[in-house]
Amino acid sequence: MVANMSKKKLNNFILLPLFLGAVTLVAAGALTGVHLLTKPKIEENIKQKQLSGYKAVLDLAQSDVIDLKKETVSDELAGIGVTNKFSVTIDTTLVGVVYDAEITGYNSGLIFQVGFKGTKYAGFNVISSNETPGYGADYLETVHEQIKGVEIGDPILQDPSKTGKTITANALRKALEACATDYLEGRAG
Amino acid sequence: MKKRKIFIDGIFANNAAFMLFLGICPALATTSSFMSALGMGIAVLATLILTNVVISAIRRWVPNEIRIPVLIVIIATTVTIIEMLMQAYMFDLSQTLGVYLSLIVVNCIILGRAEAFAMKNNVLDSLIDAVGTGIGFMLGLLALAFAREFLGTGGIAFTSLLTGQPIWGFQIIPDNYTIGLFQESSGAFIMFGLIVALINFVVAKISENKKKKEAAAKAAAKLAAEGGK
Repeated sequence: MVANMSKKKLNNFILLPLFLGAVTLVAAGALTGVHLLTKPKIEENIKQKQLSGYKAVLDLAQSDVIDLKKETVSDELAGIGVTNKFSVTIDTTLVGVVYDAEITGYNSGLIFQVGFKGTKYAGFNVISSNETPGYGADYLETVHEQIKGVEIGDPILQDPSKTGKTITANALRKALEACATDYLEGRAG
Repeated sequence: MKKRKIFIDGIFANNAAFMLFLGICPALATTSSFMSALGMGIAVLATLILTNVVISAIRRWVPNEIRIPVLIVIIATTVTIIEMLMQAYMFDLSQTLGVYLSLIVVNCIILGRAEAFAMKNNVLDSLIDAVGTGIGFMLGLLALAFAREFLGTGGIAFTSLLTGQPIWGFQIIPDNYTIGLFQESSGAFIMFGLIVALINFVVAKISENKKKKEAAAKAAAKLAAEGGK
């Protein structure tokens, strides 16, 4: 009986975790294999989506061939979530400046692009968001039309309280205005 | 159990969405458009097939005490693999489904079928059960999505699952007469309730007719017996 109990204890304390560990190892192997297989394709897809987004925010044709020159993102901009800043050129002619940013609206993880041309907002594009479908997510779809062509310094995304998306709109306005200020400073410099 | 019955039950009698009320969260969240519902349906079907087959194949070696953690590891791995494949080869669809793709891990249908069926049956039966249940769930999603998109936008837009490019579409209801509510979350609940009510009505009618037929057959048999005497 004592021998039986010891065997059962051994089973519970060693063999069961070992079995679970073995299953987890096989699972990890399978995941690694698929990850290695799909990683280049996923990165390419994300890059294409970003590139397509830059063209959209600068109102360029998707067939246009653009060159991106990475600019330095200031600490202040990085602090509010700006991750990239690019000067966009076609055949060495500057067509605009675009920013990538990730901020927290009503939910975290709102990743977007904003573009500037001349002295105006050129456009806005959402890469991904966790905003609530039907509320914040629907609001984001209107932002491009709201800011496109607006002179930098003029009020944007005003009176969101009427639409019930105040938190997202306020966070977005703060980030867009910071990008706009940085763009104007860069232009003046 | 007959293989045909396993398959048919998964689609109708044990339909995950409308009869067992399992997997309702993605059913409501991803059915604002027909194509996103189709994508979610395919993802759930693929997950069910892979998990049921793997779990059924290894069920004899899985100790009972740790069967749930083992099932969860297998399900989570399968879902992550499917998610990575979709991000690689169906990028737009994976973006549309967003977090709901990862949430298939906690979909009650997957763990339910693994625990209730795959752990107790052979690989072939488990495969048939997965296909039946998956198709049943997909048909449920498609019915809900068709009704919501049609009434909410006036038509249906078909896009390529691989590229996200529009393929074909139709618009029957003019814009002024569409009911936007059905594109919202609340509309999903309302439409889900309407479909469940319709299914219950049809099932009740079928059951009523069956009872009437049985009663008539009994009465005829009784008459025949009395006539014989």
